[in-house]
Amino acid sequence: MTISESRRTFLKATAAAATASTAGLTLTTGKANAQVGVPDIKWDKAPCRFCGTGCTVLVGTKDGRVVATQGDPQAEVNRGLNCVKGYFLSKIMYGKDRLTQPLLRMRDGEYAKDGEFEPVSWDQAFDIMAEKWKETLKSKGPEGVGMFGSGQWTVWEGYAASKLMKAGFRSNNIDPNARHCMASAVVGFMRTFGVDEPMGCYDDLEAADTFVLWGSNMAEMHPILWSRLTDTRLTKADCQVHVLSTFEHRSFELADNGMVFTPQTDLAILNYIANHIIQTGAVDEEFLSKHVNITKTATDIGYGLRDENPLQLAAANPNSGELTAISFDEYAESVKPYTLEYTAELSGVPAEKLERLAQQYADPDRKVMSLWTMGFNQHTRGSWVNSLMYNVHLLTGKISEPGNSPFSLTGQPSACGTAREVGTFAHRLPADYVVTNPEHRAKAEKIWKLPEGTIPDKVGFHAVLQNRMLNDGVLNAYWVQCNNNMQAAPNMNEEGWPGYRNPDNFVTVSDPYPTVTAMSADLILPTAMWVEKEGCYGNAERRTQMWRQQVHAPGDAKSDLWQLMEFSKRFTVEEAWGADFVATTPEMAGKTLYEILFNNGNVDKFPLSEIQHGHPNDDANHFGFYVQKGLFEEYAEFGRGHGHDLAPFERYHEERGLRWPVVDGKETRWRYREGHDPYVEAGSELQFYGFPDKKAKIIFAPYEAPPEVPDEEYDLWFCTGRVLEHWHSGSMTRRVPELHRSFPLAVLYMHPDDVADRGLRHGQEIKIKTRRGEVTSRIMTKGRNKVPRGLVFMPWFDEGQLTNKLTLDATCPLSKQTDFKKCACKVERA
Amino acid sequence: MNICGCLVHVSPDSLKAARDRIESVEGAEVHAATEDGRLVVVVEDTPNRLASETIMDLHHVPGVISLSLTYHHFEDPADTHPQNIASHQI
Amino acid sequence: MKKIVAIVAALLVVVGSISLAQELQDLRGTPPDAPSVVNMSLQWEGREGRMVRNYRQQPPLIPHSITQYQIDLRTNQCLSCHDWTKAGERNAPTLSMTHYLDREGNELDHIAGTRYFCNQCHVPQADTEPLVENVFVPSYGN
Repeated sequence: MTISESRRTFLKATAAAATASTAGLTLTTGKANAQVGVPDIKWDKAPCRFCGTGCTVLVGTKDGRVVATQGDPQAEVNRGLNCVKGYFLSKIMYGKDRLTQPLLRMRDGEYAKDGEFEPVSWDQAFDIMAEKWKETLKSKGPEGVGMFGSGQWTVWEGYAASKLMKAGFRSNNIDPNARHCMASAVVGFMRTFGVDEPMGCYDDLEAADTFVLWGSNMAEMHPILWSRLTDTRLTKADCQVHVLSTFEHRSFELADNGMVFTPQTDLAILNYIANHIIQTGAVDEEFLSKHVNITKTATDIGYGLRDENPLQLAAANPNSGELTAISFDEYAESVKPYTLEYTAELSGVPAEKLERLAQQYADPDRKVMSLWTMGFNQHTRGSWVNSLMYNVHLLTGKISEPGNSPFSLTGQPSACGTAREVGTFAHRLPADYVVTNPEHRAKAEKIWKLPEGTIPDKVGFHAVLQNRMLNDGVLNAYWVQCNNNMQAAPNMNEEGWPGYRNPDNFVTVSDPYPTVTAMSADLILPTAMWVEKEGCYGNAERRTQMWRQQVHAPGDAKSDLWQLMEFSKRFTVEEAWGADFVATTPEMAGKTLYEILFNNGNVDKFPLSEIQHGHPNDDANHFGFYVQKGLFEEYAEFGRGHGHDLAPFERYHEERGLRWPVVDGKETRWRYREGHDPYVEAGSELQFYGFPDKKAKIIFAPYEAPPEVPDEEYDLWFCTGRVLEHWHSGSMTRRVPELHRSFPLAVLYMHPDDVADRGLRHGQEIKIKTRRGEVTSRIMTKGRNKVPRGLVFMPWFDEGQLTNKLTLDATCPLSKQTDFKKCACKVERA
Repeated sequence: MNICGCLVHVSPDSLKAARDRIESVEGAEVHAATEDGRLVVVVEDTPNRLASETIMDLHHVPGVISLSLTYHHFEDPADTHPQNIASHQI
Repeated sequence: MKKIVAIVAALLVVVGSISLAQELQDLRGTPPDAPSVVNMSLQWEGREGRMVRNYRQQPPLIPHSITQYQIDLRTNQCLSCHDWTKAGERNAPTLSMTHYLDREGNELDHIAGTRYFCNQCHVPQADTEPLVENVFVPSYGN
């Protein structure tokens, strides 16, 4: 057998080009080019692989490879523009170290926890993996197996994974990395509105008069949304930009009112604004009485640390999210202590700046858009602070209309579409259903055609708890897909690393590249990425977007979806469920998980002939049916008629995305508002229909101090985050030479006086130490971030400097999301 | 099926002779050359010799100072889905 | 697969100068529990002239340092050389015409607000090697 002539020619061209590039040569009239010829580049749309903005790009392919990418002029989100990462998407799949075959830790031809990685076949890989999972299921039951997924999974990958874990293995131990990123936003939405995700949309970026950034550096993390906001600021008369953060960053370049506050005091600032609104008579009383209930939340709730931690033991109401109804007067009394003077003192922000900010919210003639990301969400009071933000918008009625918009931004391309809407969290099911509600479970079991009681009612292990349970040897068979959690999760030294390397555990990591997480695993599965498969993402404004497969994955790399479905063939229900449960459902006896989950008449309903001609679809061809459509349509059944309506599958391949709910073919830009949202009853003007009484909640919460603050020994605040040029852990962007060279290594941003006080200098190699570990880096006193005295900032994209060896695994007790922004460190000469 | 990209350094004096000699080797192709004696050579399996054997032969071509393998691709046709190959022709 | 292992082994034994980039390691090159790796240059390349683009749609890279450049509400230092009104006299490349179109496609005399922060798309390059080779192959046929 031989490979085709054109493929051979193409491979030779690749070999020549790769060799020429190492030598710095240009192949001008090389043989390779001449032989390949110059057929036209074929362009097709795809959402960007990076952040939650959800830009559409046009991907240019030729001879089976991506040769160019550009912003899609037809996309409403970005209108032809990309950030520098988006412009270099063309290169993310072509790092030379792409994994092309499964790799297993082995010694003497056998799996060994302390062995070296050796190539194995997919059969061998799944043999050992299934063996370990079966052992665990037998000895520990479903609680011993778990999966860690991603807001970068496609919608159907997340859906298949959730189904495999919750119905197949009957374990809710599945959580996405979105836990690190969006969980507090979700809890904020659910507690205040009863429905997840923003009511507004990106159109607010042109409609607002005032923009307020709360712990969001949009200039770097959401550059295209920032470009729209910048345009509005520069072209609209009297537009204002207010920026709050714990240090000065690039977004301050556009700020009319930039405010640097002491970490955690955003809680106080928001209560001050509420107090200001009340004291100046700016409350929209009619709105409040018609649409809002007022409550307060339980206080002194701990910090999401291990139960035996002294801080947890000291808390009066650990992990309590209990709400108590209060009157408006009681609420007014609660925020009264947050005076301008007190808040200025506590936060360190000059009083006149705070007042100028509060006036923007109070002024009925100003349309205000509030935007936030990790500053709010990665916060030990993240769920509280999200709701405090809504309090301000609800008091003034500035919500659910063009320009008046509290807007939670997301960091991953499908944090909304997959992690949240599909419900790949340990407590969720699709379309805001939860595993603890018997009616919700019954609905899922009905759609999935599975027996009653299949889905367990117990909330599974969340992200941080998964690492603790691996460490404790409770969770033994573990599968990580589509993320780099060894680098991303907090407190790597004390939890993540010992957890993965615990000899009791068998850890599988699926990734296109040898990441830190892959190298920490026992089995690595080579994975297809982005346009190597057909996909679907959902962005931060509820926009669902699809793309078709455009090239093939290298070697033996397979999509996450292929891996999940193939693995399900390895288990009979008896092995997965145990004989007792199968005995109650004899019709399932002897079947494989694949048969009951994916050959169920729904997922395999659509034939290959429905795939658009001219597009490859490796997954569908492998399984013999249009698997993506089948999964999508089964999934869409959860949300249709339930406030989460999605359009028919094919429509998304035609559109540059649509914002749900999509009812009668029309998308929804502003939810809860009559005339925009089809779920709002005629004549009611506005309905927060997430709750039965159709009212939203004001939730009062006080200022409470963070768990670890600088002291004499660890004398600096340690804050972590991202940079424009790299996306998250850098596993894609650091393999693009241009992006790597634009920000080649992580540095520690530090105030020049703090540097001088320690006898150090700019550019010097130093050690950063916390109670949990140490990391070497270099001091940066100049550049894009200007930190105040007493605080240092370090980006975490650099595999060479594993920032999360330093961070504390304290979380918001309600959302279980880690606070990556605040712990205490010291800096010393290396 | 192996395809290798090699960077070959040749003494500039014997560049032409060495290049001609390499071009004449079955399974080797010169894709680019510089005046200072660097050649981009692509080597593939032939029915008679594996790429690795051909590369070793290249070392003995007069004028060759060093050879480094910078790119290697292996493809087993039996392992590959038929449609994979087809679509690469698009 | 055995074949490839054999080839690699043979090459390693016989040819000392052969470098194999396919060895399995992450971008650290040391185990996750080992100390940090901080060995890269922070010097920006001071290249003369422009850098070649991989494809026509790629934003040009910046062939000089921009460390002290101010871009904010008051001023945009990049425009003092690259705006169409200045580029000629300063002998600098002019902004692409796309930068004078707003979101609705209207032509403007000044840079579009959406394009104001140059460094969202254009970045300078440090004088350092890639962490791992990228085998992207450009097509100059576009």
